[in-house]
Amino acid sequence: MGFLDIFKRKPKSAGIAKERLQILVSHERAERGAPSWLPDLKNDILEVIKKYVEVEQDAITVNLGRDSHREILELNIALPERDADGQIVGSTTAAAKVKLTSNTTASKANVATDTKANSPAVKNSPVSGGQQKPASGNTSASPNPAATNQATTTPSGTTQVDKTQGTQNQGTTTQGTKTQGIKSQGAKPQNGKNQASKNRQMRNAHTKKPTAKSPGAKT
Amino acid sequence: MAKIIVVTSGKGGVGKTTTSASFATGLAQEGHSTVVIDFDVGLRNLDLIMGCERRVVYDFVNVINKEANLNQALIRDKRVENLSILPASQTRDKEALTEEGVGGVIKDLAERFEYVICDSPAGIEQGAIMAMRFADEAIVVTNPEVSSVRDSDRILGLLGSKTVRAENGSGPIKEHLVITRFDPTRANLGEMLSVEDIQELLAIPLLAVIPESESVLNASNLGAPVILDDDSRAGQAYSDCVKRFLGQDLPHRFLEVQKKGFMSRLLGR
Repeated sequence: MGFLDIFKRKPKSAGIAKERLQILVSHERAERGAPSWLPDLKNDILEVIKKYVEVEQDAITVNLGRDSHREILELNIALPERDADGQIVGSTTAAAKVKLTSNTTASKANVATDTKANSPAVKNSPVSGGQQKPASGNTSASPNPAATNQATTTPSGTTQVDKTQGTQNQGTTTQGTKTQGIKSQGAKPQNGKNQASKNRQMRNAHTKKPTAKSPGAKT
Repeated sequence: MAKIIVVTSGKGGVGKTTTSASFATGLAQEGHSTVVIDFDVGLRNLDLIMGCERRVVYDFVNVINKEANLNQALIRDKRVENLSILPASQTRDKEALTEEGVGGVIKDLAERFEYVICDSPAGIEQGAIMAMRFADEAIVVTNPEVSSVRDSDRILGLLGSKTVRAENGSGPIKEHLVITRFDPTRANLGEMLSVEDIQELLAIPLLAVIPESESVLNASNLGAPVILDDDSRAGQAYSDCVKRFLGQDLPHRFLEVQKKGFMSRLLGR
């Protein structure tokens, strides 16, 4: 240890502890109260994707969340991005959100498919965006048989899509569902000052959120 | 109707039994008839902390199995009026705590006492689940340390799902955070999670902060709950904790770095 090291300040370990806990705790809250079929659903989806694309076992995250009046099934799939030599140079994340509204008078399923490019090569990727949308459309129907896909996105659905965060906006309509572009994966986790109350709500509602394990954070 | 309060944490060694003993003693000191139950079957220690280990004849499991009645198993505290202890069994395993059995005993105790304090074992198995099962309120004991905070969050999840109140929708369990072994000096240096950090992470109301104190070990050596040591910071903090629980509006003490004088160093306070 050099003489000058005496004056170097070590990083504050408490700050690191808090950061690590925030990530961990939100991830564990997400897993809590998850239905038993969720891991099977995840495996099945992964098997289907593996037929077409080479993806890692942990490339997919499936989260089931809940807000006041509907359930949100969230899929995040990290697709590898390769250069001409077949080397993996990055990844593209295809994310789909399926909102299942349980209502006695009318059942709705809103599908918002988001693509987020972590690599500039996203437009050349054969597996970004559009090809993922039919899959997410099918997913929307399966957990809730009564759900009918709506051609228009309801106002509540629109609020889920953060148009300001992205650079592309894909307005393609697939299978009678309106798809909208770009939602930053980091948009949902808590950054605000009211985190305490958010934390509490999250724990009580078993809300699912994208966390450190989400593919977007991996690249 | 009595209030059933579980003292829980998930992680072991954070101060559940210390807190249960002092909290129950404090409630009794304030004039409320209180019973404290040890749920740590097979590893009972509340009797030692309360200083009644040699007076244990029958235990919680004996009462559940109807091998003894409550009067035979309850140990009356010799220092504080209105305080009784129901010790755990040292020879059985946690499966001895059946839901019907525990529910029946708690129901009987609730008719006799104002407060029933359930000292939970560590972990999330049968004993811990049974300790929280019938609770109206929960005291979550947390150390300013990552594994303890994580486990406390896990326990809060269970309080919201595995309890009678959570299941039958008779209002949520009221949760209280008690941070133990807090060292303001290290927190100020950024070496320890601050009270605010923990509150933000766990998001439940703070009931008390108990400072790291040598008097806690002294108290357990003596078998006298630390709240009885009026001179110690930990004892005073527990005393505030009880009063705050009973509705008094008291500021949190011992959050600032304490300048140690020569005499207090000498006396180890």
